Amino acid sequence: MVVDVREDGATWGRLEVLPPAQGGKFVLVKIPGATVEQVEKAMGRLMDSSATLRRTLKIAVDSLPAGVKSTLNTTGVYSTTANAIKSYVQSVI
Amino acid sequence: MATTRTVTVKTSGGDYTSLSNAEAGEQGDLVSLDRQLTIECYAKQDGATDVDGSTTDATRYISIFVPSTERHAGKWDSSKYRVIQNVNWSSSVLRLLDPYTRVEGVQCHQTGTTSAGYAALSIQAENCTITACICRSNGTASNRSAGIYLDGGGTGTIRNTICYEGRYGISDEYLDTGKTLTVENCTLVGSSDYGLHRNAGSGTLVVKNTYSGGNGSSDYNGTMTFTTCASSDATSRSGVTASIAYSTSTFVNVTAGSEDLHLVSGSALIDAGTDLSASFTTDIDGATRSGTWDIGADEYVSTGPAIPVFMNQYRQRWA
Repeated sequence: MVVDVREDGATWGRLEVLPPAQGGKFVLVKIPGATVEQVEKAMGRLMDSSATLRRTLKIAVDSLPAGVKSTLNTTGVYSTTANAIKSYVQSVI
Repeated sequence: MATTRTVTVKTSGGDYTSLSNAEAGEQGDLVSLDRQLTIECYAKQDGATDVDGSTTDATRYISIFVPSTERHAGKWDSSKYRVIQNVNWSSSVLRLLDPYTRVEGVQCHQTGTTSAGYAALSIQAENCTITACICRSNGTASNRSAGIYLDGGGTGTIRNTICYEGRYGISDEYLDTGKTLTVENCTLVGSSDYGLHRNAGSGTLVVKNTYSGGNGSSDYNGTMTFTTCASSDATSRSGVTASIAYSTSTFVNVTAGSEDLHLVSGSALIDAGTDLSASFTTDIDGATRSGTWDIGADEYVSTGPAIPVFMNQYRQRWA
């Protein structure tokens, strides 16, 4: 699921940029041209029925093209466009 | 014995750059991993975080810990670690949904003011422990804004903690039958309604060595048991010394926005508490509690007069 949205060039912690192939838990999807505000709005954070704040969207990693998955797994980073990623974004609630 | 894993939250050079990311990156079945997880938070401003999604027990739990060099010294300090967020979506800045979670040394400020916003910190899981925190929540008497909010099956202990602003200092919204919330050596002041509010439920609310004062309606509201507590209001309650003013005769500074709730010399709260050293031995800023304990989050430590020390040395031939 989407856990954070930041400007280009933002500083990340050691375990935030560790690729999955090296035991990392996160991947970084870059969307040049999209603002933080646009992505945050799209990401959303909503209350569920138990009044728990939930992150609401995730990228369907299993549905991504094999080449993209491989890049994310080995480097932890992939650049794309808003249109290209749109069809892989799913609700998690 | 569980293994200990410690990760850091720092602006740069740490494992994570936010508590929220650390929680998301580290959550899991800590029982199966046989792991006690400590998230060390260094001086910075952070945002809202839900501690949720991990499996925990009494020895394999999540600890959110601020090291002493990165922590407030008993009054709000905007240069130290703090979590601040407007949570007008009816939530809390720091919400504990995993049982046995411990939080120590965190400053929490909920800045929303609408009718929906409620707490700086909320306990919504069993056996959570809050220690040496400062919790503030904006809001008015028309909403349910609280420094600390307990609901949804939450239980645990709140100690050495200060709450001010908002409608309630601590609001025990619902405590299930057979469950207990313990409030020890806390200072609950300056709320627009109640300092400590008991709303509903048949559980047990135990209050020890706690001061509640300067609150709009009443300092304690609802059924609870007291041991050596104090209030500024004049209401007679068993175990509570009434009419101890919320003023500079008791605390260093009670001006709204500049609160310094360390005790002053001569404060009526000094040496008025009960020894709880079987559970803990320090106060909100790490001072050792000794002798007869004080009421509230701070243990008064006299600086004392300067004692001149003269030292001489000499050498002589032994033979």
